[in-house]
Amino acid sequence: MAQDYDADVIVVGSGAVGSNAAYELAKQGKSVIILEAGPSVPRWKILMNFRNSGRHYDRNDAYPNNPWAPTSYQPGYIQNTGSFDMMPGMLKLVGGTTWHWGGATWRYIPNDFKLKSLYGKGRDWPLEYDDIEPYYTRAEYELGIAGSDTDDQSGTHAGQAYPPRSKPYPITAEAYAVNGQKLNDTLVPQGYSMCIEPTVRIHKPWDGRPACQGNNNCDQVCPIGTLYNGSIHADKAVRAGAQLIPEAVVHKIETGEGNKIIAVRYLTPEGAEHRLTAKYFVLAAHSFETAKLMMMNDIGNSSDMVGRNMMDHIGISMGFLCEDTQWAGRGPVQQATIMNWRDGAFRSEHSANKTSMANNNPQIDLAKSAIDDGLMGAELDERILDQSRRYMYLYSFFEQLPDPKNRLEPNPEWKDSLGLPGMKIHFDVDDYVKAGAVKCREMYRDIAQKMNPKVEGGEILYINDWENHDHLMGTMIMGADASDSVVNHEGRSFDHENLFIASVGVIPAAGVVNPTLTAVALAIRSADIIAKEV
Amino acid sequence: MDTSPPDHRGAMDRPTRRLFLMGTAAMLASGALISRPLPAIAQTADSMAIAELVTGKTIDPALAKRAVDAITVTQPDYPQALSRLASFATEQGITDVETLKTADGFDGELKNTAKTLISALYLGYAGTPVAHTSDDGVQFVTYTQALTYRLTEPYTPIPSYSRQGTGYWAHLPEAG
Ligand SMILES: Cc1cc2nc3c(=O)[nH]c(=O)nc-3n(C[C@H](O)[C@H](O)[C@H](O)COP(=O)(O)OP(=O)(O)OC[C@H]3O[C@@H](n4cnc5c(N)ncnc54)[C@H](O)[C@@H]3O)c2cc1C
Ligand code: SF4
Repeated sequence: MAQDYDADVIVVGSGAVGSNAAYELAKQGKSVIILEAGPSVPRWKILMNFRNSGRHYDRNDAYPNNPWAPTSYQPGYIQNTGSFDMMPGMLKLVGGTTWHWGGATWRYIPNDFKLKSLYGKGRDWPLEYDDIEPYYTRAEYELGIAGSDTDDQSGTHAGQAYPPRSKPYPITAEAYAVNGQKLNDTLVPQGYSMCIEPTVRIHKPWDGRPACQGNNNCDQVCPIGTLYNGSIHADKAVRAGAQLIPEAVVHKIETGEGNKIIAVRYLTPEGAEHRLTAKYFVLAAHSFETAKLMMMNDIGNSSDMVGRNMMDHIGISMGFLCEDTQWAGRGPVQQATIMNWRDGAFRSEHSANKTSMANNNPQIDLAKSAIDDGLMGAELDERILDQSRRYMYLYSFFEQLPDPKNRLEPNPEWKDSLGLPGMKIHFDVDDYVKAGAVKCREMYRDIAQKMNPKVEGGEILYINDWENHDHLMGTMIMGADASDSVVNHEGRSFDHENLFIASVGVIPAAGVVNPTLTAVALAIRSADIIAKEV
Repeated sequence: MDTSPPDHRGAMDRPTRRLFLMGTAAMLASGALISRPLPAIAQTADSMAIAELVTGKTIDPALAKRAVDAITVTQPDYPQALSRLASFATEQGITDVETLKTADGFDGELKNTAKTLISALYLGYAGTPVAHTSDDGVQFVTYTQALTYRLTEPYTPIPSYSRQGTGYWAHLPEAG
């Protein structure tokens, strides 16, 4: 007798990555259920929360932080034991963490897939750039990305569009902001390699999203829905027939014959438990939550690698004053990018970096430092205006290598309102990154001088060390070998043939570019594979 | 290029009278001559007077009150500290921030009291931010009325309130 299932495929998590997998499957005629821990919240409520809060330095603040679905900043939820405080932004609502993000949607370059064989460091991917290229293109058209078809994004292919692409970007690149243009015009003639960031912040209407009005609020909440987030594909999946169940916290995963996954169980906010069966399962509940869920259920972990090899683009940053007026904070929050250290033989010695100009409105922070310095009255206003005119902020990502010691585990000593555990994390910044940061600081000093040539050494306000960048890779690491990896190149669990992981957490070599586009591309690829099998 | 702050001074006669009221009330209160609480309306006016003194700007009375109320949530003895600052200014006959900041004796607690109020009015919040926690007790004062944004608004939109249209960022603001 044929077995009945609640769905062909159950997707856990409605973020950008899970929702894209769900949409592809629904579009291909599969019955899909999406289970999402958080609620569905309309944009206007989030915007009002933002405008009525004094806590803009906390990017989670405008979003629901429920006792059954806490965000990463709920006190106690994430406990760190290592030397670095791994505290990424992480949201729980329909659409997931991309409700607040920079929207940077880069591709990796071909050499990023071969770090071990080319440079003797970290790991190779179990696939190559050419394998993923068509899926990058599909992902770029799903997310609606504005980018340059002529830029060299590698720093090593001057005068050439690189990496190679089979189709142009769906939307042309937006105009440089005044400060990005100035940086470009100053540095490029002096040997720097620069390009414009590909982005889901679109300057022309696309797929129902309006053109960006330069609200400069992407990493809090876009007030007008220009900036892509995962809720767009959660909605599309529903329109293509998927069932979306919000406020459904998955806590149990059941295995059956042949070690296949047969069911998941979820809890409602009140603690009522429901069980759902399917032929295939996709875990897309964020890099940390997915690893936690797998470990809570001892799923897919015969390699003992779930939760390990945690990587982020740990970074440093510099605030400084330029000679000329720029007025940071007008328009896009990030854009101009320096790629001199993205790739090269040096990667056998130290980490690469990507360095970008962030254009977030700096004025409250500048005013705070002036007030802390004791300025009042006319002096205070003059300092705020002078620094706001000339301020520039650069930040850099480094390529942390996968190390099993950098890991997360469920923490039963902290429990949410449903009795589910928090997380314990151990993370140390590695020497490869530290050596890369030495080179980066030299570059910072050079740039500060070039942007302010009349002042000896430029006017550097600060250089910050070791910052979180919310790009959480490695926790369900992809590889060729079941003994040291959690999923294969398809995103399929080595232990359970009907279980796929769709997450930034599968990425085995971090490179230096924001990783979400790559995870979406891999998720679309996984969806194609699943669709053929169910 | 004109980088002078937009005109926000003026009405500088007002702080004197209100500060006098507040200073008197504070002295009366500290001298335990009266035991009943000050009427709320007097407190609002006093908040405004001292906010105008420490910033040198005209301050909406509701904003001044919100700032003092928010600070008081994070620092319950703040009203008393503010009264001491008001008394100091009244006793010294100080009516503007430029005189206040160089006045003999304006240091330590008095200066911190002023900085706390300046901070709430310029930054739009009271309290001390703590990174990576949802629970640091920081209190909302204002967003669009933050004095910092009132200074920079001719040049840079307040985040989430852009009215300048796609692509405006490719040019410097007309204001300079
Ligand atoms: C401030 C900020 C800026 C960023 N900028 C960029 C950028 O410019 N470019 C870039 O590439 N990346 C950026 N990122 C990272 C990016 O947001 C993440 O990589 C991306 O959100 C990952 O998508 P996801 O679908 O895997 O996870 P999420 O978006 O976190 O979605 C996971 C979903 O699963 C749900 N879930 C969790 N646990 C359960 C459970 N047990 N049961 C059911 N549902 C569950 C969650 O509620 C959530 O909705 C940024 C992040 C932050 C915080
Ligand atoms: S700059 Fe503003 S309008 Fe444009 S995408 Fe970001 S938040 Fe939206």
